[in-house]
Amino acid sequence: MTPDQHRQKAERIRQSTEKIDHSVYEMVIEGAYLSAIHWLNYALHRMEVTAEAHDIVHTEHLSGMDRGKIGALMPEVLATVDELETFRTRYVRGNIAGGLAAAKRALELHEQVQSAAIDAAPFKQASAE
Amino acid sequence: MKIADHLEKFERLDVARQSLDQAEDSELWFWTTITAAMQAMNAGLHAVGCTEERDDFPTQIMGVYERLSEDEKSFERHALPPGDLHLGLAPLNPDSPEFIQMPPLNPPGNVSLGIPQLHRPLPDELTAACKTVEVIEEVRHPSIRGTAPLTPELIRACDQAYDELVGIIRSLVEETEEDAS
Repeated sequence: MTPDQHRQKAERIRQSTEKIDHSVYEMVIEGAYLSAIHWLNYALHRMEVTAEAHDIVHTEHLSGMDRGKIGALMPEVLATVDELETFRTRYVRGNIAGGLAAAKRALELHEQVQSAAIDAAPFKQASAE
Repeated sequence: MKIADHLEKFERLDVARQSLDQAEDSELWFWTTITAAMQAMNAGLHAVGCTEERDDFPTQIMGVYERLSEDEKSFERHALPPGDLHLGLAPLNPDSPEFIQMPPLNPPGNVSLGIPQLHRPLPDELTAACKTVEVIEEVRHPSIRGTAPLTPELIRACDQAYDELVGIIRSLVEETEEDAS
């Protein structure tokens, strides 16, 4: 997908998430995660780290090399998306107590990914000097 | 999770699904549909004894489950037999279409825990339920992860499949509850 297509999807999903009552914290988390993944792909395409034909679906499914590369370029964003994934296991597929707080945190994490993605620019290899 | 926990989640997700507009919120409407379907299917699989009711939760790695540590201060991961299944990853039916094989189950050179073996073959009702889930799952990658339009026809097909699934699971759970009493 192109960066603009990812951005459009991310914004639509985030807007729809606003309609979810937080008592259904599962879908607040899912909306935040799904939108964040589109923002992550937006950033990686804009940075020219991944090709438009190669979208990331789950950060846990990345190859060691891809994960190492993204972790070096955007460590905070990768950690943020990883945290969102743990929320999906524990609060969406699981029933650990604290779903409401997790939903609030998920929206904060989403904002961090979105903000970093909007600022993303093509990666230029810096001189070693 | 326990059957009752799956059903409790399902009911709340079902209400949220109805609060979304199928056209305006199509992506999240779809995502709520598949999330609710997952809860319903897991309740059904537990009810007929195909999978175990346990206090652990599926991760993105098939066959790997996460649970609270004994002192409840951290989480730990274990490779376990099928408990709750993560539908996008779980090949329930050997005749399932390609979606069920995404991501690759066992690419050359990669470690894989393989396809989960259910505790007993799927009964006919759940085979029918799997087919409804397949209708919904086939939309996930092209239209939500990708750019294929989520047309009114696809939305209608997902809606019908979901209603059918819910009907099957409700009957199945009621039957097993009656048998148990």
